[in-house]
Amino acid sequence: MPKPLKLELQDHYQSAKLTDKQLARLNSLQELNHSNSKRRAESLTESSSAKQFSNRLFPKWALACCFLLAVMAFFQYQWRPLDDPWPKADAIAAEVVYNHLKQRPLDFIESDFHELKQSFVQLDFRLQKSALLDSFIYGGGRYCSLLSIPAAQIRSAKSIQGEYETLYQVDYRESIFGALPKLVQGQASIIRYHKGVAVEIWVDKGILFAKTRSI
Amino acid sequence: MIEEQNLNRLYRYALSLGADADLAYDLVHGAISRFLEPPIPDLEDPIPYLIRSVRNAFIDIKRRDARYQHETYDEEGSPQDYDIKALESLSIDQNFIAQLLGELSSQEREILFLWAVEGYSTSELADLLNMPKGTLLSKIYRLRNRLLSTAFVKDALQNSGNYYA
Repeated sequence: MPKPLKLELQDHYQSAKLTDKQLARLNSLQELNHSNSKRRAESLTESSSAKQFSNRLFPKWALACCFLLAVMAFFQYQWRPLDDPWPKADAIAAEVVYNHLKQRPLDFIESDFHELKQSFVQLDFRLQKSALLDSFIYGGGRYCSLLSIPAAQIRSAKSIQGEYETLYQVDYRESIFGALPKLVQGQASIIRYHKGVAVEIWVDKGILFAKTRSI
Repeated sequence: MIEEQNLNRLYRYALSLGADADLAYDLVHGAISRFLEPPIPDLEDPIPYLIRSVRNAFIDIKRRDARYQHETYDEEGSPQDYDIKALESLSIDQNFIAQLLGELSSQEREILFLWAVEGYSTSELADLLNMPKGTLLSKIYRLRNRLLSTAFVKDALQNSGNYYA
């Protein structure tokens, strides 16, 4: 159903967000700079006012400690992502959870995997089953995107607890999605949390799978 | 402090330029770093300044990569000009929005983003894009025709409206 282009563009861009780690780094950058500015202002004050008064309020060793702590905090944030073997996993989880919570209307209602597979005619990949999806009961699907790459968003049937699960399948491109665990190499799926929802992520048969988990 | 909401606005703007997620973050990070270099500009609303900073950095990178090209438009060659409001009557199925954006140039995506998400007027757009208003109006005219030629976009007022600006 066509909707105004303006609204669709707004929806499309609103779904893009900085990850929590990126936000933390930007905030840390601002705080570090704020403390440096303060330090510079204080050193100016120190040189122009009575030295004794200034030293009593802001001892140099305390300033040095603050600065050292700020630098250490900054570098901790800076370098932590380099240790993360799955650098895009948080961004993927955030987008999956955002759309999982929205529960937008489905384009196809199909409980049979093969019927559902045939419904997604406009994807440039084929939906796949994966060993980690044995207990997933298909309910339907809709076209969507993950990190701006066209994707299939599949919803499970309602569980006894009245909950749905959301499964994303998208053509896996390492340049976009970063390194992710590949079942074929014997790697285990990973779980990332966002807004209290767990998302399990893995790559199988060249497809990136991301599925919310009922806890 | 630039708050989360505004950091995300800058990030989305960077994405609209055609930056991938990593580059978009780097552009925001760079803009914030430069903004915080003393002397810090005393601005009531730093966002327009930061948007310009992100834009300039993106163009610098793309020029270096020789991939971003300023398209030149022959203003006299356009049969008519449209105000940015002429885009209001266009509609699209949400399934095709990513596909549509993928077919547009950096500058076309940027114009759509600034119009739809940031609510820029034609004059504000001309100012940010650093081009005469007439050139921008020609550009909007061509953008509208291009959108309608993609088969994803429909015009609700195709036969009844007159958008001549």
